[in-house]
Amino acid sequence: MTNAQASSTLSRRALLKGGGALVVSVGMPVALGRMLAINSALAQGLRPPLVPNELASYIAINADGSVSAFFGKMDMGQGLFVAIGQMVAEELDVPFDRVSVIMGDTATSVNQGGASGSTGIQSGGRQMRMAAAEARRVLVEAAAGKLGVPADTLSVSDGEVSDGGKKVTYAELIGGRYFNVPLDWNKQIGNALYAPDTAQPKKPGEYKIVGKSIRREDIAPKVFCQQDFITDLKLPGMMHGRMLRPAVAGAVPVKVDETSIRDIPRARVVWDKGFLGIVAEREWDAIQASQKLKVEWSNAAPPFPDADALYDHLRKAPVRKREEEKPTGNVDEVFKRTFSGFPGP
Amino acid sequence: MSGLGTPHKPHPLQTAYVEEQVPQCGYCINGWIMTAAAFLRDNKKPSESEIRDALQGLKCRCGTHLSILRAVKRAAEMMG
Repeated sequence: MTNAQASSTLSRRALLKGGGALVVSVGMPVALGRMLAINSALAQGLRPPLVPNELASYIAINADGSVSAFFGKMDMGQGLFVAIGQMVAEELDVPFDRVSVIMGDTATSVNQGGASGSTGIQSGGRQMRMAAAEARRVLVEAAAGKLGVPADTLSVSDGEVSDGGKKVTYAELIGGRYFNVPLDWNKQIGNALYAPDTAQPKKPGEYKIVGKSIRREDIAPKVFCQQDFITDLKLPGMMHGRMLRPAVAGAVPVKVDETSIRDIPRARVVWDKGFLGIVAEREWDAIQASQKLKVEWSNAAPPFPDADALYDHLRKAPVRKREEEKPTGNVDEVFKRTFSGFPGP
Repeated sequence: MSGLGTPHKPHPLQTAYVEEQVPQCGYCINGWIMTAAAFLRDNKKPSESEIRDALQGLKCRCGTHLSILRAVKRAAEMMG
């Protein structure tokens, strides 16, 4: 399995291949006796709901021992597939290439906010790290019950729980079935969503996978034009739009002459108070109509001066808040390392 | 760019882009790669400042410019 899988080809249910005939109910503290197996759980609708306070909403161990991480954000190029995969693999003690990060579909993941650009990892990764750590805790407890040894004598390597002698794999413990573990959720969705439980994530000094530079699988398909960008997607019944914006900030349309685009019959005007746009079946119609449409805009006095006076305006603006920078590392050293081999700009 | 090379027969720039792991979102790479391909076709062994001049005006909002520079230099070396 690759880490960059399109969620559209994989349903949450299909990922839990191997029948999905059982639900494992794991409470806290966990013992084998509390693991409840129910036949035909899916058919009976006993799959845990896709809600923020269920471990199953974030992590699944598949029948073959591979891990699915259901991530409620979207990679728009920041490398979330790699970063989130690393964090989940790290906490679960499984190899990085055994984790698939599944994202971009509200049918498979809870709402952890938008792509969030450069903060996508720090905002979204926090919860995935805690969920993976909790999954590991639950699995180690279950292994302790199954092997009849104390949990604190067990360690995990490549998805295998062992006390040095006896061992059991994640796949044997739960592979293909759902976690049924409630989490302590902060009742927030989006970037602020946080639902940890009792598990403690690893300390950074213990990291073996996080911090490694792992190559991205989405680079080659981009360079060889093998994947569409969102603007390339053509869906049935799709319309194209173009916004019309005023030349002066704050102006709103007061008069729109729809007859001015009469010769582009498939383009339609959408006007709602300050909002003005064109929709059309063909993009070119929308572009042409948006350029041709005659609009009368209100007179508006923008709350800033003309471009030539903007610089002075910014320099003279009153300071509302000032934050002093605190040095927390060796700036010179990092700069030297980052830009080695390059002359200055 | 889809006519420039294939995974089996890549243009040196495409190889270099993968090797240097250049793009983040990748939206602007058509402009960079095609401009650089035309430049390298006509300029063997370019200096860094010549590369910078040739690519002036192109923008990458992910800020991958230094990786782009590394990749173009690498491709130039491959094209020798």
